[in-house]
Amino acid sequence: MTHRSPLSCIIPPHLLHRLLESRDERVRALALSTLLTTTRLRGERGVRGARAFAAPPAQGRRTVYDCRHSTDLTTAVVARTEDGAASADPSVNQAFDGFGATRDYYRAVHDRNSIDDRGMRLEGYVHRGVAYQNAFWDGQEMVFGDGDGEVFTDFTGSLDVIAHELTHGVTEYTSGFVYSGQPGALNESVSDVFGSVVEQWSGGQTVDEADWLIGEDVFTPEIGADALRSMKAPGEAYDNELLGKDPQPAHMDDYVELPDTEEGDNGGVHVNSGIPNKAFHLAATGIGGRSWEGPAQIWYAALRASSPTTDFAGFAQATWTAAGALYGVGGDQQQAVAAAWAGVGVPLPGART
Amino acid sequence: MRVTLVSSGGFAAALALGRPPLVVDDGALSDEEAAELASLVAAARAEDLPPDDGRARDAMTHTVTVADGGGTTVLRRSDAAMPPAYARLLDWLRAHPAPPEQS
Repeated sequence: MTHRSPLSCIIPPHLLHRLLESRDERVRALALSTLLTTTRLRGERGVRGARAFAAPPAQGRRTVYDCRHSTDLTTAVVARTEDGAASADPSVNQAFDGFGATRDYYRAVHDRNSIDDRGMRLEGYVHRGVAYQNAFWDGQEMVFGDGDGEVFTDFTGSLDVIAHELTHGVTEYTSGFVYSGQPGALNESVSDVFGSVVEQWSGGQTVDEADWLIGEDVFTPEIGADALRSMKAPGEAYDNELLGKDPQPAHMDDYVELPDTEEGDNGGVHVNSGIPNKAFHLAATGIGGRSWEGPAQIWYAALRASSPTTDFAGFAQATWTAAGALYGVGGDQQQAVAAAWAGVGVPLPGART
Repeated sequence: MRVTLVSSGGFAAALALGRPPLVVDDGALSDEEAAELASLVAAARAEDLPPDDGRARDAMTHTVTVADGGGTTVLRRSDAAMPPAYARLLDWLRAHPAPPEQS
């Protein structure tokens, strides 16, 4: 049964936003819940049709398939199931365990039942192709390459990569950020944020103990790179002759304009994600403690309140609103969020730092 | 026949920005290799494309440009909708790279 807030049909959105600033905690909570519900319903409209034909709820049960170096997923064989024994293949077990850690994180921290919040099955394909140097989310399942062994290693060995890809699924079922320009960079950033937070949660790390690196395990040791991306220091993850220099900006002053083409990374979605990545790092370290207890709650609420075309400023506003609703208007968390976005040059009208 | 491959996107998309294309010229190949390349290109041109709903994230996109006496053909495919002959062509091209073009 769908539970609906009694506010949902009688109060227009601008009044709900004002109620988020109420001094009454119950009013704030109800207003936020209503806003999140209505925006989530709007954001999920696009995928609801597909759900009608989806597999029945499965509580995020996992299946890992072995592609046996083919690129044709239909020829892959089952390698491990939720109730089956561990595999003799480390790649299979690493993918299985990474799926489990990510699923458990979303359930324990955000009360989310798998990717679609309806128990969607988690399916992964390992050993795709020959020396395939990538991992991706295909809209329904996750696919892993082995790497070439010279630059890249097996992509199943990196929990933040797995959580990053599965979070693309979560984003599709919530905000539905389009994969272009600033919404596309937010799509990538949200995956980096939860990729890092899942790793921190799994390791019990505080924000000061975390490495804030994305893909630190995907390079072979000989490459001499820290990671693919650094949330703490965008632009400084690598700088060598083989890879070149990390192109991520950490501030809007350095925003990189690229063509909205595949060759231009859809307007630099993997490049400009450095800006909101840095904002999350600043917010998390400004708040302190464990990232999943405050900062990730704020970012998750903002994700659910966003739309497919939300830009950096809109998302910043959503995090600020969520911080006030969840932890108090003008409180330490909301001030830390405002300072974080100011630190990366994203305007936040109405915020006082 | 001259074949170029440009791959973009992927989890490590930033690394691919500005990379030179991979180029294979059949004039530099043995007769056997040139025939093999021509066969792979013909198969990739002929096969049906699987559906691509555009929902993939971090999948790579590959653009193979074939220039020969008959003109230029561009074959563009995503990792998320990769037909088998095209996959074989990609593997073959990566195993036979010529030095990158000078800009």
